[in-house]
Amino acid sequence: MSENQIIQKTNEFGETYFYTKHKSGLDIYVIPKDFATNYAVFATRYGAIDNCFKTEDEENFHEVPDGIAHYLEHKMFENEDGTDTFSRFAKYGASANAYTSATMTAYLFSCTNHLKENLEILLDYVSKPYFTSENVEKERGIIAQEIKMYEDNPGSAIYYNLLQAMYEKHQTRVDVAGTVESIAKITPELLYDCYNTFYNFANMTLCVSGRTDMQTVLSIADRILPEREPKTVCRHYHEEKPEVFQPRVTKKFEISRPMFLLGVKDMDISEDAEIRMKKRVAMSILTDMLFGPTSAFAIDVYESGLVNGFEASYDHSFDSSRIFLEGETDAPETFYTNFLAYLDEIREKGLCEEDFNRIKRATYASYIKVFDSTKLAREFTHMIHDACDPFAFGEAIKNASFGEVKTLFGKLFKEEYYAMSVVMPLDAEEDGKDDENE
Amino acid sequence: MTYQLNKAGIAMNFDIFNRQKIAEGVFFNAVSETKFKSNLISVRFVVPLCEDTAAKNALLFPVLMRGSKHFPDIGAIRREEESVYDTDISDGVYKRGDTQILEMRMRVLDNRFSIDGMDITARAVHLLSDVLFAPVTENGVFLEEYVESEKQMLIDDIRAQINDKRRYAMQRLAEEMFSDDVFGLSELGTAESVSAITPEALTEQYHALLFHARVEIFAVGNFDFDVLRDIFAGCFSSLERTEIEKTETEALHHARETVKTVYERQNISQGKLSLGFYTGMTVRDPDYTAMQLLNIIYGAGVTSKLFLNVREKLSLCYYCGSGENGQKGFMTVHSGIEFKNEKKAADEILAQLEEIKKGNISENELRDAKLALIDSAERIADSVGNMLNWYFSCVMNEKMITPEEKCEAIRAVKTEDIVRIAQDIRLDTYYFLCAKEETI
Repeated sequence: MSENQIIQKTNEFGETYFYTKHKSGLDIYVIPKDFATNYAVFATRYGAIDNCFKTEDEENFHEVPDGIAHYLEHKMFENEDGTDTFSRFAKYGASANAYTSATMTAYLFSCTNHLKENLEILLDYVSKPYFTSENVEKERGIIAQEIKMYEDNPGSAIYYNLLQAMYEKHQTRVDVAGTVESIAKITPELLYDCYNTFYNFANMTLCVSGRTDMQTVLSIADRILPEREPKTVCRHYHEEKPEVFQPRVTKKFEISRPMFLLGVKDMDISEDAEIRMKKRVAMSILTDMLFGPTSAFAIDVYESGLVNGFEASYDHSFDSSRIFLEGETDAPETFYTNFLAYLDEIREKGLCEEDFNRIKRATYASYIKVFDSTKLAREFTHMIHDACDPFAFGEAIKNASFGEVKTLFGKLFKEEYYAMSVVMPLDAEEDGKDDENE
Repeated sequence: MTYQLNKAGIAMNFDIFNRQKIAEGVFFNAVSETKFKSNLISVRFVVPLCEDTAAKNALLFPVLMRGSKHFPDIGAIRREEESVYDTDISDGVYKRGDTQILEMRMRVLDNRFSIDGMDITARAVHLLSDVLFAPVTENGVFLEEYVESEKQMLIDDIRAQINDKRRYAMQRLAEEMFSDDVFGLSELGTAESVSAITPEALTEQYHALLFHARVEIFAVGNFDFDVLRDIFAGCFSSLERTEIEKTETEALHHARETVKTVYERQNISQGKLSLGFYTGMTVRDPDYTAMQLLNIIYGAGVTSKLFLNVREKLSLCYYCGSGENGQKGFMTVHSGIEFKNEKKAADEILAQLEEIKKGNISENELRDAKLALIDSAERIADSVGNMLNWYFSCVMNEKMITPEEKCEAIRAVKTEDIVRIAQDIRLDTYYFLCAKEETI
C-alpha cells in the first residue's frame, strides 16, 4: 500500500473504520462515533515478554532485566522541560493513563473536548523520551510499592504462580512489573536501548475513536511525529515444550478460603493471523460450552457448593494460548478430580450442537455490545496487535462451525497440559489434607 | 435551574427523563436514548440499612436467582439468559448512605439486532419478572436447599473480604469511623446473622419487601416505554402496598473530639494507611460542587496534591488518593506504603490538606479540577450505566438536575468557596493495617 492511502471498511451493523499507514510507518486506525467521549490509544508492540532482542543490523541479542517495559512506561511521563504530562492533559480536561501487558505498552487518554490538543500531547510525549539517573532513581521506590501491593494480592500471586508452573522457559511467565531485585538493575542507558528499539513507529499503532476523522488525525501525526529511521526488531522467545513445567504450585496467604487457578496449556499457535483468529473464536465458544455459566460443569460446582465464584476464560494470540478455570473452594483436589472426570464424560458423550448454536449467538451479541463505547479503541488495538481485522472477527464468529469446535476439543485436553495454582489460608493443613472431610 | 421532585403526584418529564408512579412507592423511570446497541433495565429495592434485616436482604436476590416458575433451576435461568442474546441478569446489593439497595439489572441487546425475529426485550423482561415475582417455593416457603446453599456462599463472600487488602482497609475504616452509626454496618450483614436465617424468615422478609419497600425501576435506552411500564405495573397490581419504608439518610453532624486511632496487624508486606475526615458537606448542600472540586484538587487523580507530593515528590507509595461521600458528609484518604513510612506519609497527607485550608490552590489546579468534573458530567450520555446512576441519584436526592446544569454549577465555583468549606474538614479516624510485630 502506498503512503497515506486510506482504506475504509463498514460492517453489517453500520460501524465504520478508516485505516492508513502513515509515512513514519505508524499504523493509524480511526473509528468515527457520535459519542461525547473520544478515546485514543498509542501503543507499541513491546511488553514483558520482550526481554531478549536486537535490531536487524545488530549482531548480538540484548538481554534486559525483567520489568523494564513497565518501568519505561512509568518514565515516559517525564519531560525534559520539567512539565508534568498528566498536567498537560488536565489542561484540556482529558484523563490520561498507560498500561503494560505481556506483549504491549499502551498510552491512552479519553476526553470530551479538545481532542486535537490532547492527541498532540499524546503523540508528543510518547515520542520524546527523557531518562536521567535522577528521574530513573526516583521511580524505583514507587514501582517497588506497586510490586509490594501485588505481593499482598492473592489474585495476582495465583496468576503468576500458575504461569511459572505452566511455562518453564517462555517469557510469558515473566511478571510484568518485575521484582524488587530485577528493577534495581534498570539504568537510563538500558531504558534508551529499549526505547530506541521498540518505540520506532513501524512497531506502533494509533487508534482513535470518537467525533473525528482520518484527515484530522493524519495532519496531527504529520506535524508531531519526528522523523525516525524504520527498524526491524528481532525478538528471541525461549523454546517451550507442550507439556506443563510443574503440575501444582501452592502458596500461603492471609485469606479466608483456598483459591485455585487451573490452566490448560496449548502450544499450537499458528504463524498465520487468520488461522489464529479462527481458532480464537472456536476456543471462545468451546470454553463457554464446557465451562461457561450454562455448562453442566459450572452448574454442578455451583449447586453442590463445591466452588464459589467459578469462572472460565481463555487467551489465544501470537504469544500464548490457554484456558483458565478459577474459583474458591475448600477442596482444590476434589475440584481437579471432578474436572478430569467431566472431560472423560464429554469425550464419551460428545459435545452438544444445540449448546453450540446458543453460545455462538450469545458470543456474537457480546461482540456487538463492544461497539457501545468509544473505549472500543482498546479492543481494536489488541486485535490489531495480533494482526486481526476487528471486523473480520465478527464475521469469524458468525462463520464458526460445530466441526471446528469438536476438532479443537479433541486436541486441547490432555493431563500433561494441566497445571493448577492454589493459594491456601495461613492456618491450612499441609499436603492436600484439605480433602479429608469430603 | 434545578427542579424539586414532586413527591405527591410524581409525574415528571424533562426531555429524556420521565418518571411515573405505577403503584404505592413504586416508580417507573424512563431514560430515553437511541444511540446504543444494547439497553439497560434495572429494578432497585431501596430500604433502610439496619442490623435486623441487612443479612436477609443481602441473601434474598441470590436466592431468587436460583429458580422461578418458568425457569425452575439455575441452569434454566442461565440458558434463558444466553438464548436471549446474552442478556446477563446480575443481582447486586449496595450501601448508599443509610439505605441498602437490592438490584437486579440486565443489559438487553436492542431488538433491531435480532436475527431470528425474537422480541429480545419482551423475552428478557419476562425472565426478569418471573425471577423477581414468581420464585420457586414449597408450601409458600423458599426451598431449604436453595437458601442453605446461598447462605454458605454469602458467608464465604463476607469472609473473603479480607483477601483484597486495599478494599479491606477501606471497609475497615468505614466500620471504625461509623461504629455508632448504621452506615458502619456492612450491606452484606455479618456471617453470624446470615447463618441464623431460616427459609421461613427469608420468605417473610421477601413479602415484607414486596409490600413495603420503595421500588425504583429504570429503563435506559431505546424501548417502547409504555409497554414496559404496563408490564411492571401489572407485576405490582395484585399487591396491596402500604406503609412504604422511609429511605432517608442522616449526615454526620461533627467530627470526634479526639481522633479515633486503630492499628490492625496481618501477615502482609505493604501497609495500608486510611484516614477518615468529617466534611459536613452533602449533596443537598449548595456548596457540594465545591466539595467535589476540593476532593479532586486534594487527592482524586494524577494531578492532585496527594499524587504529586506523596507519590511523585516523596516516592512513598504507588497509590495515594482521596474520595468524598456526599450522602454522609465525609472524605477518606487511602494509601499503600512501607510500614516504616507511616508517619512521613500521614504528615504529608495532613500537610496537603492544610495547604488547601490556607488557600494555596493555584488557578491551574482549579481550572483542571473543573475541567475534569465537567468532562465526567459530559460523558454521562455515553453509557447506559452512567445514565442510570445519574438519574437514580437525582431521584434519591430529590433534586432534578441535568448534566448541563451541573456543568454550569461547576463553572461558577470560586477558590474562596473551596477554601471556606475546607475550614470545617477535620480528621476523625486514623486506621493503619500493618504487619505482625515480629515481621516489621
